[in-house]
This record gives sequence, C-alpha cells and structure tokens, in this order.
Amino acid sequence: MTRPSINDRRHFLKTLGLGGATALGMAACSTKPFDEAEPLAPTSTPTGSVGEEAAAPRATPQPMTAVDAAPLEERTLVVIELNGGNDGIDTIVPYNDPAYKDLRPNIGLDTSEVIPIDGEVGWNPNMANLAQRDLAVVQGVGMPQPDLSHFESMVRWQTGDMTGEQFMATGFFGRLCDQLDVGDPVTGLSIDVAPSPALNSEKAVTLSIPDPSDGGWLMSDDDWMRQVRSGWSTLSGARDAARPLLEVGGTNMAEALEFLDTLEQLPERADDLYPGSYLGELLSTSARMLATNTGVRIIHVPWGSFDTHDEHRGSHDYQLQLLDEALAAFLTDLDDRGLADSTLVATISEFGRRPGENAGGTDHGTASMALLAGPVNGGLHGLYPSLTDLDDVDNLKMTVGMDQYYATIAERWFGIPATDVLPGSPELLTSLF
Amino acid sequence: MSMDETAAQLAHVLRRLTFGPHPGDVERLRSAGADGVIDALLGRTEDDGKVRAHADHALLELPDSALRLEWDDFTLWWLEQMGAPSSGLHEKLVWFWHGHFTSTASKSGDAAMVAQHAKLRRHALGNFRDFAKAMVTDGAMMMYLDAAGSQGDAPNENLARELMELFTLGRGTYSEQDVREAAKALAGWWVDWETGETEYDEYIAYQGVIRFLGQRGRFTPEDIVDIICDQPSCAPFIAAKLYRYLVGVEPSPERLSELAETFAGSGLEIGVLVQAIVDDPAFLAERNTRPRYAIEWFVAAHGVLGTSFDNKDLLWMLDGLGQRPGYPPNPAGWPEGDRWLSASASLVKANVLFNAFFKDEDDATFPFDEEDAVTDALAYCGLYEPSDTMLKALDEAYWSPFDADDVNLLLVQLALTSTEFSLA
Repeated sequence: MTRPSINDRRHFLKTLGLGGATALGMAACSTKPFDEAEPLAPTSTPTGSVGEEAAAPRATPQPMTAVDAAPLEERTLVVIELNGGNDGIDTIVPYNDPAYKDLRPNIGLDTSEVIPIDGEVGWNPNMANLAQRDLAVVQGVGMPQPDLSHFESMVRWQTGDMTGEQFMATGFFGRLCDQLDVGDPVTGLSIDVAPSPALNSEKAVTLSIPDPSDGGWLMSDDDWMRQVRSGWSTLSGARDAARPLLEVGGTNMAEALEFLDTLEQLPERADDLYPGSYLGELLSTSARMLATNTGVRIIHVPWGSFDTHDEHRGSHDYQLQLLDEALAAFLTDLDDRGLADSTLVATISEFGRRPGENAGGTDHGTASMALLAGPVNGGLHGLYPSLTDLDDVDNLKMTVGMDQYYATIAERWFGIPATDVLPGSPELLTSLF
Repeated sequence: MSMDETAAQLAHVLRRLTFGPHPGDVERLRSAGADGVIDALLGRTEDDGKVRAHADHALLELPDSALRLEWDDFTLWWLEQMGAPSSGLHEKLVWFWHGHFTSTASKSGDAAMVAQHAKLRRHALGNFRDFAKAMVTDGAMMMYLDAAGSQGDAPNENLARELMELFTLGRGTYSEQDVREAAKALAGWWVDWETGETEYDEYIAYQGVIRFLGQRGRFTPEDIVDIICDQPSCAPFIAAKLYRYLVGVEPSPERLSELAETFAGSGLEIGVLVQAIVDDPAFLAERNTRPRYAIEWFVAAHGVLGTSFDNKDLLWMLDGLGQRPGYPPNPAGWPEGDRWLSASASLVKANVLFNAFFKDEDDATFPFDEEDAVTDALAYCGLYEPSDTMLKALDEAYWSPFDADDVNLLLVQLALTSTEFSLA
C-alpha cells in the first residue's frame, strides 16, 4: 500500500531553522558539583501520618501582616538550594568576635572589609548588593543531631525531616505543593535536568525542566511535528502490569506535553538586568515562569559549589559574589514585573562548614545561615551560634531548627498549618513576618 | 506478553551487559541463545567470532593515542568504545566504576582524568582491594576530593569521608573519629595539575600513630584501604550496588548475604561477584526493571541512528541529558532511580534525536520492508516485547501521510523517545 506524501521532514526542519548546534539551549551545567542528593529510600510511612502525632489543635495560621504582601493565593516561593554546604560564618561574619581570627588564622576574611549589620556581625564584602536589600538573615539554622554527610543532610533538608528517621517519600516543598495544588499543569518546578526529591509530591504535579524557555519549538505547528506529538501522546498512555516503569515514564511524558503548552505564554527575558552567570540564567527563567501565571507556586533552583574543603577563601567569596549579583538582579526583575509582593526567596543548604580551618579550607560543619528576600522583616533573626561553645566534633551548635525555618515559611507565607507538612509541631520564628 | 521470547531475552542480556543491542545483534545471536551470549560475555567460552562482544575483546589497557587526548576528545573516544560492536561487559563495568570512584574533569584536569580512566579499565573486573588502593592515591581522585596538598597537622577530611561513605562501606559503619584519623593517614601528597602525577611529601605527611576502625598504628593510604576492605560492611555494600546495576532491583537480604559471602570469600574479586549475580535466574527474570541511564540510552540510540561519535556537540547533549562522562554531579556519582524517566528527560531526548536526525537528513534511511515497517523498526531498536500502546502509536505513524523514508524516520523517532526504549 502506498501512502500519499504531503510534506516531508526537511521542510519541517528548515522551518525550524535548526542548525548543528543544540536547539534546547543546553547551558553549561556540568560544572556544578553537588546539584543533587541521593534519591529517597522507599518508605512505608504514608505522608498523611506526618502531622498526626501533633494532633493538638493549633490556632488557625496567621499569615504575615507586617510587610505588605499579595493575597495568599497569589504567593509564590523560590528556593535557592546552595549545594555543597554553604559556610554561614563567612556569609554573615562575626567580625568582632576574637574567636573568629583564632579559628581561621589563614583563611579568615579581613574583617575590616565586612559590611556591618550591627556591632557584632556583618555581610561578607562580596555581598554588597544584597546588603542593601533588607534581607532577613536567619542565623544558626541547623539540626539537633547533625550528620556530616552531604547526602544524608541534603535528604533531611529536602524531605523536611530534621531527625533523618522519618524516611518520608515526599519532599517538604512537594508537600507544600500538594497543599497549594488547584489542578494546574505544574505547581512545583525545578530548574534542573532531573526532578528534585525536595519536590516529590503526592498529588500535585511537580516537574523539572533544564531551561523551559527553549522548549517551545517542540510545539511547532507543522505537519511533521503534529504527527510526532500525536505519537507521543499515544505513547504516554503506555501501561503494562509487568513493567510498572512504563507508567512512570508515560505519566511524566504526558505532564511534559501539557507543560509545553504553557511555555508559549512565557514573557520576554530581562537579560540586561542579569550578570552573565549560570545562576543569573536560572533566576531569569524563574522570573519569567512566575510572570506567566501558569499555576507554578514553588520554583526550586539547585545551584552552587560551596564544598570549600580547599581554597576556601577565594572560592567561597566567588560563590557569594555570583549569588549576590544574580539574586539582586532577580529581585529587581521581580519588582519590574510587579511580582515583588508575591514572591518570597528562601535559601537552603545541607550544612555549614567547620568553624576551625584545615590548612586551606573548611570541612563539613553543621548550622549555617538562611536568607529570605521579599515581603519579610529584614535584619537578623535567631541567635548567632557560639564560636567557642562547640559540639564534640568542634562544630557549631544550632540555635534555630531547620523545621522552625520551614514551619514559618509554611504558616506565615502560605497559610498552611506547619503540622500538615512537617513532623512534630515546631515553634515559629514569629519575628520574620 | 512477549512476541518472541528468545529475542526479548537476548535483547535484555545485551541491554544489561553491554551498551547495545545494536541493529542486527539479536538476529545474529539467536542461535547462541541468552546463555551462550552470557558465557561469551563472561569469557567462559572460546571466542568463535559469533559474539562480537566476547570478553576477549575487552580493552584492558588504553592505547597510547588515547592517553594523550584532552578530556573532551577522550570522551568521544570513550563513547566510540562503548558503541563499538566489540564492546561488552568490561566496557559496561568501566562505566559503572566511573560513576562509583568519581572524579570530575572540572576540578581534576584532563591528564589526571585520563590516567584515572586507565586504572578503571585495568581494575574493572579485577580485585576490589587493589582497585581501591589504586584509587585512593590516584591523582584525579586526590585533586577532586582535596587530598592533594592535605597536611597531616590539619588534614582535609573530604577524601577520607567519601572513601568510607560512598566508595567502600556506606554511612553508619564508622565514626567521625574514624574520618578524622583516616584523613591524617591520607595526608602528605601533592599532585601536578598538568600531568596528574603524584608525589609523596614526608614534611606534610602525618608521622604519628592513629587509631582507625579499632586498629592502632602508623598507616599508609594502602593500609587504610586494607583495614576498610576487611570490614564486614564492605562486601555487601559493593555487592548491592553492582546488583542494582546489573539486575535493576535491590537484592533480597538473603541474596545479598550470599553474594557478599561469595565476594568476600574470593578475596573481593569483582569478576567472581559479577558471575554470581549474572548466573542467578533473577538476572534473566528482572526485565525492564530499571531505566536506562542517559549514557546507555544515548549510546544505544546512536547505534540505531548509525551516527559516529565525532562531534563535540554530543558532549553538550550528554550534559543536557544529565550524564556527561567526567562530570558526575557530586562524589556519589549519578543517582539511581526513576529520575532518568523524568518529564525533562523526555523533552531533552526528543531534542537530542532531532539534532541527530537533522545532521543526517540526507542519508538517514532505514532498511525497513514497506509492508512490515512497524515490526522492522521495533526490531531495529531492539524492542521485542512492545506494549499494545507502542504498536498503536507506531501504527498511527505508519498510516501518516508522509513518504516511505519519512515514515520510517517517524517510526524510529517515536520508538527511541518511548519509555520502552528508555528501560534497561
């Protein structure tokens, strides 16, 4: 039997103008160590049981009122995951503490360059842009029984399980997405090549896209491409009881196709605002996603190379400079797009660094700093951890639990009871909002 | 429901033990059968030339020409080895160990990475203890995990920790004190970034006695590895990881302890462990139980397309797919699990294929019978137990209004972007 030919792929390819180079703008992402943690272990603990142990009635969450912010249903969260373990001590520097120089005689900052916040602590000199932005600095965030493994600690941050004993199948941000889900194509988005355990959810769709802004050509209105999409659509329905992975792949493929539809709404880039860095790219894309009103409520941005075992001074300063430039640009972009009152930016990192230096750098530590930007009360929150009263392996003792930080974001930013998304009933950091 | 059990089984063996199957492999090997192919891949039969991936073809040493390449060119050379018809189990394990004893070209430098690769080839099916000793003083490894320049009086803990947590024992089998003590024993080395050559420096090495995993003494890095390899948690840790790679699922506790016993009893011979895993009926039974890693998908897809690995753009594609050789995301290597079937993975795969098709637009033709194009396309892609959905999708494509060459292309395009082709 002979098929009629009404088109051919050459026409299609020429229409698209595809050259030899990659079409999906695969930016250099090979040089970012620690951009993922291990996948979560499977668990028999249903997520629904997370809050049950803390069944005591709590007052209805009181969302923030101190700073003008958008209505609850418009609020979004951008999580910047600083991979490798960011040194809190050289981010917010205790420049007046003599113990600082004792602990870091070789790699310590010249404290005269620190940008003071108060008489005790100040910003790393490479964070001059953010220092002017009235960010909230949450000091001493960590875990009561910390673990010095990147992978274990990152899993705890991603799942919101401070003890490491709950083995939750969902991520903390995935559970927030479940609460925020109103049936949109995507509620949580990771700007990365692979999904993050932090966004593992029960019902909300959470996706990862390396660079969503460049996938639009797959939606090309062309005979060939329509046929391909039709084929994908059929393939995405593949099910086979003997091969459960077919359903996993098929579901993801269907979600990707649905998400592609939304990409056509993406507004223009604000490139001139941003430094030409990889983080700048990721945040520029994030701003455009937030401006599309596609239903995305949480964007997860894994980035960075903070594992400064060696050459700490230069490499940590450089990471902070990249963060400072890109995040400051992002805040301006959000402002320009009218999103400043609806977007909260929060940083997480698996742990801080050891206060005492090794010969040229810092080994794995415990408590660190978290930064919040957006409609939040700026300035210092929580207590700076002591540099002299250390734990049994010479690391900082936390002053604020990771779960308190998360609980405050859940309740005060999203109006979601913390006990619905976290184990226990962590005390809120009421000064933040 | 399998349409052709023999073919399906052969395709399974080749997916798990090689970077294939490539077009024609299954048909060519039908007479040898799955057991015959396994025997040949393990080197248990004479090389009669029937199984081109016979163990005798393993490239245990790097040719001089490859040793001098910069990392990007070396990566293309390596991809060529993976995609070669003679590539077999050894090549598949070289990749496994690259994701296990991790180092990255962005930190360690090209010469050191290539030199490390030569060790991966030498030890891939050798003795694990010797392998770990070679890696703990490897230049690329010491640069990646900051042992290079580490000083005994203020040692850097990075390598000591990951050596135990990720490379040999697993978390929870040692104390923070053990990390600190091992770090002292691993201090005392410099690495030349340009050449990857290592040099011991007694002035920065730790000279005292340390206490490590219950033993006291003045220990060299090799001593540290010996003490680690004698721990009861070492054999099961390695056995479980290799089992997941080859079988696709977690071993049962009973099966794992059998394998660990076999592995430990052999003095940690990797070849013995591999045989024990592959010879168990579970190996043939657990079909399609894990995703193909991006590199497996990429090499197999390029085998179908017949393209050569001669273009550095391919490296950016592997980057986009999340698995560029020499650039693991972190010291734990590339994660296992369903992430390789993610939504983003499907979009990036589509993009990779469009690029590949475009490059060859004038000569991308496939030898499919016009009457049996769907069946031929599936076999060409190594898919011998297509789901009903796959058959439906390809049938729809078959009846699309394009000319025959374009229909063939569409069939291959859809087969390669399907979840079925993305499973190992």
